[in-house]
Amino acid sequence: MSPQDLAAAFPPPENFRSIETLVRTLSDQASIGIFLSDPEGHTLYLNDRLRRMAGIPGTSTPGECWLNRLASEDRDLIATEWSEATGQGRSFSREFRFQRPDGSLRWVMAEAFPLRTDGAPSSGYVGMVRDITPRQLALEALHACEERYRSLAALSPHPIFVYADDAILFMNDAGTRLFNLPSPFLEGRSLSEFFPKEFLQDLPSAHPARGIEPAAAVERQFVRSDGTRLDVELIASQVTFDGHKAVQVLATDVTAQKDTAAQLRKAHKMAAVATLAGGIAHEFNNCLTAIMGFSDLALPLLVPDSRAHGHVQQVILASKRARDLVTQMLMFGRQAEGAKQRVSLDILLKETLRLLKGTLPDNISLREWIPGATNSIYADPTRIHQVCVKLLAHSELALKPDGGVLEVRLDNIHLDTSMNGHDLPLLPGQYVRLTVSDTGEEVSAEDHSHKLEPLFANLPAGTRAGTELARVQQIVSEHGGTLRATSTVGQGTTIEVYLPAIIIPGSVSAPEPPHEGASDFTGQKEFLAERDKER
Amino acid sequence: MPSVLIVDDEEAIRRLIRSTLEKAGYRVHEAADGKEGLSHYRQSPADLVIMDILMPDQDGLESILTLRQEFPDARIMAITGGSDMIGILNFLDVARMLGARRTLQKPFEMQQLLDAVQAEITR
Repeated sequence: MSPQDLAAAFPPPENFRSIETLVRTLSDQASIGIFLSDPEGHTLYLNDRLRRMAGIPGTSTPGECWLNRLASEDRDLIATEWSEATGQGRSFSREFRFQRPDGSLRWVMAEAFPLRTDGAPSSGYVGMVRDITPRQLALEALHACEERYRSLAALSPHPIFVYADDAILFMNDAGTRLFNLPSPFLEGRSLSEFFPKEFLQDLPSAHPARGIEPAAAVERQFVRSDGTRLDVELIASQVTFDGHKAVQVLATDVTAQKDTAAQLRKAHKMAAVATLAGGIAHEFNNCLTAIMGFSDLALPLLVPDSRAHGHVQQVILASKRARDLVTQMLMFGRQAEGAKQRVSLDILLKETLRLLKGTLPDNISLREWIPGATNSIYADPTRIHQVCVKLLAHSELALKPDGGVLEVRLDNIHLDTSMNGHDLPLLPGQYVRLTVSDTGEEVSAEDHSHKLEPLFANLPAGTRAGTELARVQQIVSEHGGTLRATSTVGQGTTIEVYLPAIIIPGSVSAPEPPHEGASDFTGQKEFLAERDKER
Repeated sequence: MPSVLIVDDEEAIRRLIRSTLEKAGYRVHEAADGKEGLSHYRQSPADLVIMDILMPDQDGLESILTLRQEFPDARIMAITGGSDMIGILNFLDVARMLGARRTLQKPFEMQQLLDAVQAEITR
């Protein structure tokens, strides 16, 4: 309504009183606080709303300044700014707190504007004051909540981080350790500085406040700065952090779980293979029994030295080979890495010798004495196989280039406290003894004293052979046995390996060999003949 | 003439052992499984029972146990082509614990069989 219309609507002198009533009514009913002040900022009028906000009683004089009702901590600053604004005739806008007589605080937002007409100096101020206490309390609660979150998250052993767009807003110590990131000073830095794009791409996230089920965990791979690979499970959720929409991620290192699961799958597979192998071996052994047995029965029916006789003998030999192969297959097939099991050393040794025979030069003669009834040992077959290979390799090396005899013997031996000449560091009991001898060059007296440690004959220290025999001693010791090496003038070097035997109740052991000094080759002719035939 | 009862589910094995033992002068009877073997022994106890371990229905271990319970003096030799392990024990170890005095792992040579049979029967 224009001033002219107003004048027409309310004829003087009543129009002035009507305008005043209008303004007062508007002011009293307003939902905000209203005040009027003179150009110097002294309060001329306060509406009821403002009085209630500030806790100013209705009986107070209008001249009482609303500044007097400010909380003591805010008073000086607000008073200074109000004074500056009114002094310069400019607007005023500020948030501060009133402290009411009962001590309670109200947060308000005050805005005041100079009253001017046509560029003349300000004739006073009109101000509006809004009660923003609920908003401010909410903000304070939010900050307190965030502080609690930060404290809990910082201490949590579970890796947690929060990001918005490409910026890291928060990451706890567990997170920096997991991802091997520099800590602190991560907040504010770019995500892409530390994480590849695909790591956090398309993460499903839920908003917990909306009551939606938590997002499903997603598995991702991460490569740390030191090159180690991690399998990480991520669960993301939408959060408000420091007033920003953000994503909170809980990370779990599942690398070990996956490794364990993989090992378990491998173990199950090996167990299944072992079971299958066992079943096949059973059927195979039945077949071999028939092949060997009927060949045995057929042999006497054939003319000796006839071709048919020779063929059937080969069938028998091949069957025996197949028998040993089945045993080896089962031995190594059921083995978990490094695990010990019952091992028939004679079968292992025969296979090793069979492979060696093909590589020995003509000037090295191999002799073996390996009865089939040797006690079993409890060992890792792979490592015991290494022992056999290394001992034979050592003796072969000692016989080169001049040649000689390489002898291998396997027997059961009982060690007791009364055994003559025995100073082995072993408890009394049953052992399996593997003896590998060579007729290599004699060893000088000073080298003899170096036989045991490290175990090399006349080889320079640090040579591969010396290292290999040291490894043999280590493996034998780990299996509860011991190793003894001797060198005799004119007879070469003998290495004996003693391994604890497994004695099963009711089992029958092979007979013990004659004592040393007796003819060791008596009764071996059959073995030698057999070996020569094979060669 | 000593008698031997062969209990094995493989016909070829039974035939092989029969041929070998009859040639050596033994009287041989056959059974294809543990139940049949026990039934035969109850009717006519043999001087030696050669018992295979892995057989369907009633296996050799169960048969050995039952046989020794009913006939404590029965002479039993266990044979098997199986090689399953229970720790460090195999089937033949268990058979010995149950009362089989001798054991042979298949495949064996016929001379081994003859030596074992003779040693057990003349014990």
